[in-house]
Amino acid sequence: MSETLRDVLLDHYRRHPERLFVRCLLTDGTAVSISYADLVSRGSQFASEFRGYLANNGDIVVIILPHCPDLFCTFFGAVLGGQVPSILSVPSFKLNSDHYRDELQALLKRIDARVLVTDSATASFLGMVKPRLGKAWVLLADKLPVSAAPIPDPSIGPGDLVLLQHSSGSTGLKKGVALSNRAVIRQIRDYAPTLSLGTEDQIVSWLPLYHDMGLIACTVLPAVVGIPVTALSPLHWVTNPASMLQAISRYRSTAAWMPNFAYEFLASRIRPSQLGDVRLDSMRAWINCAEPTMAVSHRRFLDQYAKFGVRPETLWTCYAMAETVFAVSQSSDAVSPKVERIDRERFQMGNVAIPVDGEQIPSLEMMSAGPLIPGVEVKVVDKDLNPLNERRVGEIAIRSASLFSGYFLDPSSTAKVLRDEWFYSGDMGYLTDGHLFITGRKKDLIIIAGKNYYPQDIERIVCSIPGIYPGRSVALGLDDPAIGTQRLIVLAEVREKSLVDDPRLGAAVRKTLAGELDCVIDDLRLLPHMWLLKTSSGKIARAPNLKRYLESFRPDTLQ
Amino acid sequence: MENTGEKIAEFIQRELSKDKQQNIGQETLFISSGLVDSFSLIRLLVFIEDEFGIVIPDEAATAEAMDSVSLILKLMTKFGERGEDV
Repeated sequence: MSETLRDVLLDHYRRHPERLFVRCLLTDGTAVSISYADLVSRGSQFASEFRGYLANNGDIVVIILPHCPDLFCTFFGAVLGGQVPSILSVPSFKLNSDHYRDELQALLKRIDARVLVTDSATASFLGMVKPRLGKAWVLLADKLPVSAAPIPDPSIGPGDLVLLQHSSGSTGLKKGVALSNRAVIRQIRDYAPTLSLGTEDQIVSWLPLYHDMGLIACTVLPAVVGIPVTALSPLHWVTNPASMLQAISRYRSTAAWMPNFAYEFLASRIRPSQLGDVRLDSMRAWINCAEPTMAVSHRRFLDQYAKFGVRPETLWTCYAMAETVFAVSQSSDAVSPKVERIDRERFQMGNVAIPVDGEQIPSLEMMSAGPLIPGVEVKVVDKDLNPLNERRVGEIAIRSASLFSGYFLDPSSTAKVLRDEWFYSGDMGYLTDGHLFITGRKKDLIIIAGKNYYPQDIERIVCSIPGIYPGRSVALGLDDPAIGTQRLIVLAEVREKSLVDDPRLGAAVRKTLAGELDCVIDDLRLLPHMWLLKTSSGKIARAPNLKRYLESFRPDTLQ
Repeated sequence: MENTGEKIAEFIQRELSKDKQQNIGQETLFISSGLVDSFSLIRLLVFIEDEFGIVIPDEAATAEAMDSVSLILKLMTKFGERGEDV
């Protein structure tokens, strides 16, 4: 049995070199097809180039490339060469390039990366004129030679790292999830049968590869199973969401992973005239993952697309995270996601999920993330880590054959979440009837359109702006079923009364946050000093301030 | 052209901007200033198509190329069927 990702890739290459691996759809409408032969050939060229700058197997290669064929070839080239690739997001034009470059340099140093692969345009934007950024060599993928190179033959084993998956956040908060070959291969061997993936399947994806859903589910998984991917540019998809549906119709795709907001986006932002005679009946799996799933989003999606061939039994859900490589639970055509209404007050006050019928009692609609996949155990625990019974809400802890090796070069962060083979996820939920329900997060992570933001990052940046009271701002994520994701609320106290609601200060806060984190505030409130509530220990807690915000401003004042 | 720019600015301010206090002028960089998120761009493209009958092709409709009303007017001139009549 193949035991490294490299072995699996080469096995496909030897058995069916001409088989399509990825069809890379470019913005101009052209498609570049990459077969396993192309992938190994171009990948070997990159691996050979990397080797000239690297000392050992397992050295880190950071990749920052836009959607293009070389994004796939550099990643798998590093895998073939025994190096450890880590894909980071391409800086948006909105970002302050000096700030991004400084943050990047700090990250490269922290993870001891020896090579940074990017392209001429990105290097130019970041003002990287020297061949090195700190200690890392900067290689431009579009300038590298295209001469043939032998397939590298590094000595690597199943226990060796195969990739680093970086979480969101600034340098200080960004953690590298270190995954071994064994964990990645085991996860896919366990997960693919749950999806009943076969050679007739084709995946379609607009997801970025710096995110685990784009990288693992829509790139590594198909490479291991040996099925093709039609890959669209995430930036292109945002301005032309119909392009995904047109690709499905044209190439007869069968499976896609998307965050919840995308169901709402597709349901509300495409006009029927854009779709023409598009047929979506080839799809047998629309997998909702990466942010809280909402049954109402599935209903709206189905209302819009049933006439194009979407069937209700193809709307699946998944709970996944990088620390378990990817999936923890998954619904499918065999087991549909369970939808139920629970007593709202008992859920909020008593941490218990009691199903209710009728409309007499205020309730919340919950949709499960399906049953656990093979090889995964879950327990729900209270704050003292004691296991809870079914329908009791607590933190989700996971034990799995495909757990991560730890946060890269960060033992203290690892020790906080990995204890006695259990990974404490920071997510809250409950188990019942063999289904896992996710209800929220213990950690205050904000997820907007599938992208994660740490409130601490936002608060630190806001507090650095002249006029804002240092240490007295709070960033909040507010669920909004109308758009299928969270809205970003920022409450910040100002230094002087005259600055309350000051439009110039508001503009400075918005611009700074866009420039440093590429995020947009839905509702910004510049408040008088002492408006924010503190806990008895003197911290500005988020939950009480969210409550005060809702009481003071009401969500319908969101702009 | 002046009227076209005003209509677009008014649409952005009314429908897309997160901050109704901020005036959207011809040169306001409304995306890089954090006033409008990239998911709203499709609404802007639909508005331009419906209101002015101009389709800006995918490869040109990037957030960077549509960061201000004046940049949008340049795109409309480039891709409008009637060119300078827009």
